[in-house]
Amino acid sequence: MLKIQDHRVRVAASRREEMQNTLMFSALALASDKSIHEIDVDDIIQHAEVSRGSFYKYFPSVQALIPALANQLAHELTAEIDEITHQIPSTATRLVINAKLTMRRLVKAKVLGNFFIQLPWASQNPEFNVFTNISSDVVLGIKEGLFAKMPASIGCNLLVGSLVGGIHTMLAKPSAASYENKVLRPALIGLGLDPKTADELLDVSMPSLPALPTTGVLGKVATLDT
Amino acid sequence: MRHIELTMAKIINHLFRDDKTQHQQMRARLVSSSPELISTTSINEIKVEDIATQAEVSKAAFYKCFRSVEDLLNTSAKQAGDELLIPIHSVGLTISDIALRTATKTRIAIRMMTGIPLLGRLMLKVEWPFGDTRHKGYQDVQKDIAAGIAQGCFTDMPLEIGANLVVSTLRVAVQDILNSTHTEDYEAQVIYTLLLSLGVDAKKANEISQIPFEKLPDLPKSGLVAKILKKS
Repeated sequence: MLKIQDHRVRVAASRREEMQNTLMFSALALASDKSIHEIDVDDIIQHAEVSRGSFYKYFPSVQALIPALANQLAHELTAEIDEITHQIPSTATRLVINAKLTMRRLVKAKVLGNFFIQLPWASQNPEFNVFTNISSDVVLGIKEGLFAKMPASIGCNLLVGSLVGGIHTMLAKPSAASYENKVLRPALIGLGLDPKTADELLDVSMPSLPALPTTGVLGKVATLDT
Repeated sequence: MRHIELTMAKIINHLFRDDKTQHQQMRARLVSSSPELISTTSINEIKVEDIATQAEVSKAAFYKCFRSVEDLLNTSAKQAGDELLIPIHSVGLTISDIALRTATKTRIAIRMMTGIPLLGRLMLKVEWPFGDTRHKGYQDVQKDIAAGIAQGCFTDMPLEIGANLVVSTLRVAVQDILNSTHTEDYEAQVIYTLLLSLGVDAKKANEISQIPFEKLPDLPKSGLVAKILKKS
């Protein structure tokens, strides 16, 4: 009896997760054609082909869904990139590779980029977000004396601001791979690195971008790609 | 017959013109209601219903002019930005060294926006990073970047990258100062970091960021900014 119940609970939980991901994915897909402030429940249920009741079972409103989606994607994306970069010992190298992989991921899967560049500045900031690992390396670099001493928020925003700006430009027009370096270089110099060190860091050979995972919201994004 | 057709055409034209003026008047009315709105309701919690009540218009009329609350706030912020640009720009013209000019203009903008917290919170509603690259403020920043590169004090970089550094700096500073998460020499540090990232050498960046701040130029006497000031 116990076993059967467990099974039911498990199935129900995975169904709930699947439904939640479906709704979030619909919002994500819609965000490429519409501002995130203008997507309404009708758009989402139509895209997801579910009833209005199903939507409200999971989210009280679209305004509540957007941050949940941002958070979910941030967790999935950082896990994916962290897998590759976490064993790099040097803070500065890890930071640069992380930043480049993040840019590449968000530019290559346009639905992701189009969504992230619309998030308001404040939510790019405090809690967990797609730039959290990058920000914590900036903080670590300041502590290690690698970067100039400055309030962490100035350093983090210099880098994150450059990244978001760069992603925005690269989504709008195809750019040469060297554009990434042009985006990152001023930020590294602003953090206090001398130009020679910055250029060496930017020349570090890059691991290739992994394929998108098959699960979660990213798993659904992967089906768009092919 | 011909006479009738001509008359018809005239009437249609007349209707269209009226419609357009009415639409513009409605937009202007909604924008000018934003100072009152942001002074009574927290800026992130404003609903279309609040705007409709405030401006005494129907929700349907609102949606004819703006797509969303964010759209209205963004439009209002851009208008306030146009107004702030006038005094900032005229101070800039008196400074020939582009590094110093950029630093001074950024400092004035930070102080104007944080001196009136309501204004600062509204300005953070401007689409980011490049919601509207045709906006006069954005164009002005780009011009300074180009001049700085030509003068040799900034690194040669794509103009939008340089402009983004200035805009990001302004944003983080306004946000940190409004949220009081800043230290005493915060402004000097943020300006120093900005100049460094633009390619100014450390010695000069340090000198410029330490220059004591003179007088803030006068805020515009009329318009949206003046209204916000009155509500503060």
